[in-house]
Amino acid sequence: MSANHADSPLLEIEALEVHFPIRRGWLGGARGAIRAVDGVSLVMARGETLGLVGESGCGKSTLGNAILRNVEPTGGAIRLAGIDLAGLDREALRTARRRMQMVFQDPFASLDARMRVGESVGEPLLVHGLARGDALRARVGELLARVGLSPTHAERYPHEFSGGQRQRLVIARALALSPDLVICDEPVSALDVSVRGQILNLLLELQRGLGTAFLFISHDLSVVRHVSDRIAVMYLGRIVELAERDTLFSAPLHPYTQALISAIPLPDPVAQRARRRMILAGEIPSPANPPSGCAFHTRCPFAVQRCREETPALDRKSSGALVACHLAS
Amino acid sequence: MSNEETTRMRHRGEHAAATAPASPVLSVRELSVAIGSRRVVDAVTFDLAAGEVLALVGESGCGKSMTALALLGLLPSAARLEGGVIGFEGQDLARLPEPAMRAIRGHRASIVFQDPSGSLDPLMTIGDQLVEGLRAHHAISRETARARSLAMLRAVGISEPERRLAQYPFELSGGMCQRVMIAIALAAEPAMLLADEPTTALDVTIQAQILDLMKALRRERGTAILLITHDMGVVADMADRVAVMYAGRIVESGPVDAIFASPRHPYTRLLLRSVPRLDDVPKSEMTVIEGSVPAQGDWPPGCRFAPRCPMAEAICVAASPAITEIAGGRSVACFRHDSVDTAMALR
Repeated sequence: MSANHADSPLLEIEALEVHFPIRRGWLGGARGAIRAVDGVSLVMARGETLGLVGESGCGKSTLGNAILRNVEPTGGAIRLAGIDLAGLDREALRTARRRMQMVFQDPFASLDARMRVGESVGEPLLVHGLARGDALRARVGELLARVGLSPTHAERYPHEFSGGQRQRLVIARALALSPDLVICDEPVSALDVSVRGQILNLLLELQRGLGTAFLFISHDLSVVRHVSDRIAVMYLGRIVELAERDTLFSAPLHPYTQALISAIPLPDPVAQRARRRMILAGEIPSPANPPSGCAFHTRCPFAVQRCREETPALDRKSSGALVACHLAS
Repeated sequence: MSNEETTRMRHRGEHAAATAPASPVLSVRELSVAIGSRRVVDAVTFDLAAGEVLALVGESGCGKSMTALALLGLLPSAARLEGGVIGFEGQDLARLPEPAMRAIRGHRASIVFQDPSGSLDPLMTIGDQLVEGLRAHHAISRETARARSLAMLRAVGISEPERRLAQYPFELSGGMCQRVMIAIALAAEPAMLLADEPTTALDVTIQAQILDLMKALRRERGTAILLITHDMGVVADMADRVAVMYAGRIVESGPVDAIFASPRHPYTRLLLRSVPRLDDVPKSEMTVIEGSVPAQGDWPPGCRFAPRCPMAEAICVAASPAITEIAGGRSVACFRHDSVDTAMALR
């Protein structure tokens, strides 16, 4: 690609905002906004897997969709290999989008029930005019084999596949255009526990074999830990901590990260009984009306006056982690 | 008579299953549920004692939710109770007519479902739902019922309970609705609570709150809890005993520590290893269970796990293993349970 700056990071997100206006009444005047993503900055290197975790309403899925421009950002910048996506016209955006693909949670909704799966997997190649006829068939066969299915599966329909196999098909389609970045939004959450491992193994194998970068969005910290190089924790539209995987788990610095980790029950009754759980009081506040200062202060057991008044910046700490907390050192 | 039938007949006399030490609140024997000609719950047997948490674990379609619904006569219209005994406080619920059943539900036995918004009436305030629920089973005035409702909301950790009474379900978050459901379920101080994936739809920090609440109830009121879940972490956190279901049957049961430390059934063993955990090696290859869960009621012959089992031999396909007692208050339905340690590493 012409404007491929090899030395720039794969993805740079700068002060990204996605605010959805709240309209009341049929005349629809805006009465405030839901701050789904509220000033997120991060950088992804080529081939790395960045985990993005947080609870419902934290904005993690909106962030993924904003990167693909499935939703329009209301502020900030997104650069893919140095190219500002906001400045692109439709045609250029279409080309840029080829380099980014998405895998959603529900493999049942992600495939057209009336299309043979070979057509679904090959569709991106056809649409972008990259292959047809025998070349297309060969490439589809290759992709199916890559995700652990057989080229002969191409002639079948989605209903003939199990949930785990369908997610393999969705991943095969996402890989069709050899993207630089695949955004996976809860890719194993809808699958049976016994088949999650199959899909996680496939994703790990693809990481090693293809050099593709993955943004792995999930509410499940154990799953994110298993696949990620670095992990970002979101709370109410903001990143509160971003660190190397092992740093995040061995020395979480933000109280919210600490609470999240401690709230996950270990599948080991003896170890679990010995753990001390940090129970957060109250509910996750509404992103339409986030608390002042640090948005976490309403649930934070350590909050002081400054936390109620002043929004903490995402600063680098001595461990190398980026943390948005006045009290973390 | 096929091999499977002979083994099953032998099994009928034994009732060797998840039997609790103390005198049970609930005693289920050979419970079977069918949808059309498909048997989706097959001869399930277990006990539940006062103040005990029994976790019924399994993947979707294994029959765990259907078991819970059958216990309280709440089966969907397509399903029917095919047989079995549901002993509860001296009565057999399997043979109880619906009016008598209704008197037990929400009074002596309550159920909480995964999706709290689907269980609350969207057109009634939280207060009306609590008050009506109480007055349906107790001869008390509206004022007394209201006072007791307020106390229940406080007990389940709901902030500003007076304000909540006047609110509708849509005005509350998922975690708050689930707490209201638990408040309604517990208002009558039931002897038994059936909790069907009570925290699956909730965020992990809210899940921690709800699990703590259920622990407190069990401790302070001696409520017996049947906890239905697919999450082995929740099981480890909550349960005294575990019964693992696969394809409509209980395949293994016993005390929680023993089951986790040395599972005897290959399915339990694989299930424990096939989820990533906070203490494993990141990016290491996960153990997988080959294939997928069979469609409900469309079970393979012999041991239903045999097609996916790395230890399966000829006998596993030819006959169905009966659930049999082994040492330590445990039961397992596997022909090869003695060699599971040598055949499969635990971690």
